[in-house]
Amino acid sequence: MESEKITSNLVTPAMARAEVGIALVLVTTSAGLSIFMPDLIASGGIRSAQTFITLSPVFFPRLAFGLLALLSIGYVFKTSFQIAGADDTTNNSDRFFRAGTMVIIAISYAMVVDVLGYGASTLFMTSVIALFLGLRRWRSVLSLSILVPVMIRFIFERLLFISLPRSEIEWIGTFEDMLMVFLTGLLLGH
Amino acid sequence: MLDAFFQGFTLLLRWDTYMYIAAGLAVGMFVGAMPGLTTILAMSVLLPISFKLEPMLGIPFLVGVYKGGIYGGSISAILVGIPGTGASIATTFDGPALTRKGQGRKALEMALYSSTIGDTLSDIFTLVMIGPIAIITLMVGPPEVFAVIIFSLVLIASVSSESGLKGAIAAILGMGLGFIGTDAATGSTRMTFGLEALSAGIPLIPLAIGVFAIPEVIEAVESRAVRFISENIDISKAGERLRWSEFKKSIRTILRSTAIGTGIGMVPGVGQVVAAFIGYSAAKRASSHPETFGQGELDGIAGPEAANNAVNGPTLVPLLTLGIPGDNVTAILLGAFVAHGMRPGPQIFQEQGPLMYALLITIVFANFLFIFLGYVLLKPFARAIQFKKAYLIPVILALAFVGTLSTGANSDVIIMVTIGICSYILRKFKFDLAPLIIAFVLAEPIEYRLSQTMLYARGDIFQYLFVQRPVASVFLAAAITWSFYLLFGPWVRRRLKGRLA
Repeated sequence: MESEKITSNLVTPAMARAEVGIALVLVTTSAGLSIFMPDLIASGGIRSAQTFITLSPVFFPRLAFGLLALLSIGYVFKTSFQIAGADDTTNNSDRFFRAGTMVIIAISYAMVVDVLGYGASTLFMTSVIALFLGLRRWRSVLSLSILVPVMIRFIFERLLFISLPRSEIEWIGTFEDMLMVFLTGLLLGH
Repeated sequence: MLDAFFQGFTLLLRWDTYMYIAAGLAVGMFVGAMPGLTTILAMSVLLPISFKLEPMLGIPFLVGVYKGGIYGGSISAILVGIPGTGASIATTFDGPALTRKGQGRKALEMALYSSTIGDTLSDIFTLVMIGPIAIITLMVGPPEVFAVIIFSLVLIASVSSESGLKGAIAAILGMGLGFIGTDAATGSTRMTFGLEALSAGIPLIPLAIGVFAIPEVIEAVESRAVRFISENIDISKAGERLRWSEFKKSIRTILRSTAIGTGIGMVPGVGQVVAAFIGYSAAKRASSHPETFGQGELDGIAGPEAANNAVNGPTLVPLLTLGIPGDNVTAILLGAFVAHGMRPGPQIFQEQGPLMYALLITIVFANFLFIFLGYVLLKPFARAIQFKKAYLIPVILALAFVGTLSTGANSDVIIMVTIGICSYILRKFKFDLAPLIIAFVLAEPIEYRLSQTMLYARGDIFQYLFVQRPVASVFLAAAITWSFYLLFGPWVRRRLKGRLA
């Protein structure tokens, strides 16, 4: 694992160029935020508190982002010099493809959790990740996909009283509620 | 202060506190033992659980995860030479060699005993010293606290990343995120971009989970390996148990490393990794046979393991007395304290003295559970590190989402995933994100203390800070000098070298 991490951290020309890109994004974003900070302060607050001897709400964010812009300019220069020296030829495309797939799964999970509710969306997420990571026995995939959302929902909702999103699709929500009532009766006796 | 200490004892007679500590220790050891997962991941994902519990249960639970995680990292470090956490890297110098010699069991037990002793002694030191330090901090005003926070941030940024520049960028980025929402001094909302979800600022839970859990989940699936480690582990073949005579020989090393770890723990930002390396090299230097280090030496396990665990207690000193988290773990703990209505800082021992002492005494007692559980769970966890990723990753992601959803706002999952993806990209470019999270939690105190300082200064802030407040001026001057040295030092050295050449 450690050796894998080390391999992925070697600088390939593409990574070196991407780092310059990141540095440029940091420069433009932070400089933009610093310059336009007064426009990013909503009206309101205690006017009398904003006198000449107190800190304006603009002051610190503007100072911080201005400083960040300056540091990022230094970062751009530093990374630009690295492009010429980047000669690692490791092909990381597979690693990035897998990471990209995981990012898509995480985003999709975040998008559907409101619609499908926690239980159903976690069931789908678990089965997709299990298959993606090479679990092929359908019994294992199925049992994992059912057990993970059911156990987590039961522990957090019924034992720790943390409410989780209910499905907007009524029959899924009703089914999950019934399942939780059944488990509560079975395991907690009420 | 002494009254509070004795009142604290009365709060200790609760069996459920120890049950939660035991649960925390077990989870921490498990996660620490997994080479692809970290203690901070477990802490950030489990942070919401602590919110739902009383302070006497929730905070010791998180501390248990922390303690267990540091020790858990040594299991895979010794058995297969892959450190479960950064703090265990120094343990890989001698651990695998001992396993190859058929002394893996001895090494694991030495790691457990030295970790527990280091932890217990440093916790007792913390318990004894924190009261007097809290009294001293009561005498300092907002300008001094502001100066110390700035100095600590510079120190943390400089030692955490591979370059001071990246550390500074991460810290300021974290501070920028901390400014989103309502300004504490004037009540104005800023940088919300018209989004209702941001009007109260970015909550700590989605940020912590986004910064620590999501990048680890993504990194874990990058390789096609089915398991975190591919080696076969059979603990029954790990050899004999540690003998008293062997342990006795390492007592001096353990005590030396405990002192090193305790000292390092009090300095913000340095942390377990550095302590473990110094502990190892100190053990090697003091040894009468340094040539055996690296070839399977029990002192090579005792040194780093006592030192890295001895950091745990003293990191609470700057956190509880000044409200300054020294690392990402204490930043999460700060979040837990705040969620329970306690604001760590100079006043906390006056306002919540008995509870604070009860927590600290519990942390000392937790070490007895630590040694028991460490012994009992050694075998199952040594086997568990071969779990398939396909079983663990969905559980971690599902827990990360539960943690975020526990804030009550479903929009927080979008914030968490967005921050997670950005954090993954930054980690790819070798940014250490500990300064980001620490600066995030310190953004509000910095601004608030500076506001107070400006009120006291009545217009002439520089004269007030640098002339009238000598302590503040020393810390600020040190922070400025150190920043300049970090940013321009390498460039100046290169120029001088070039001229000399």
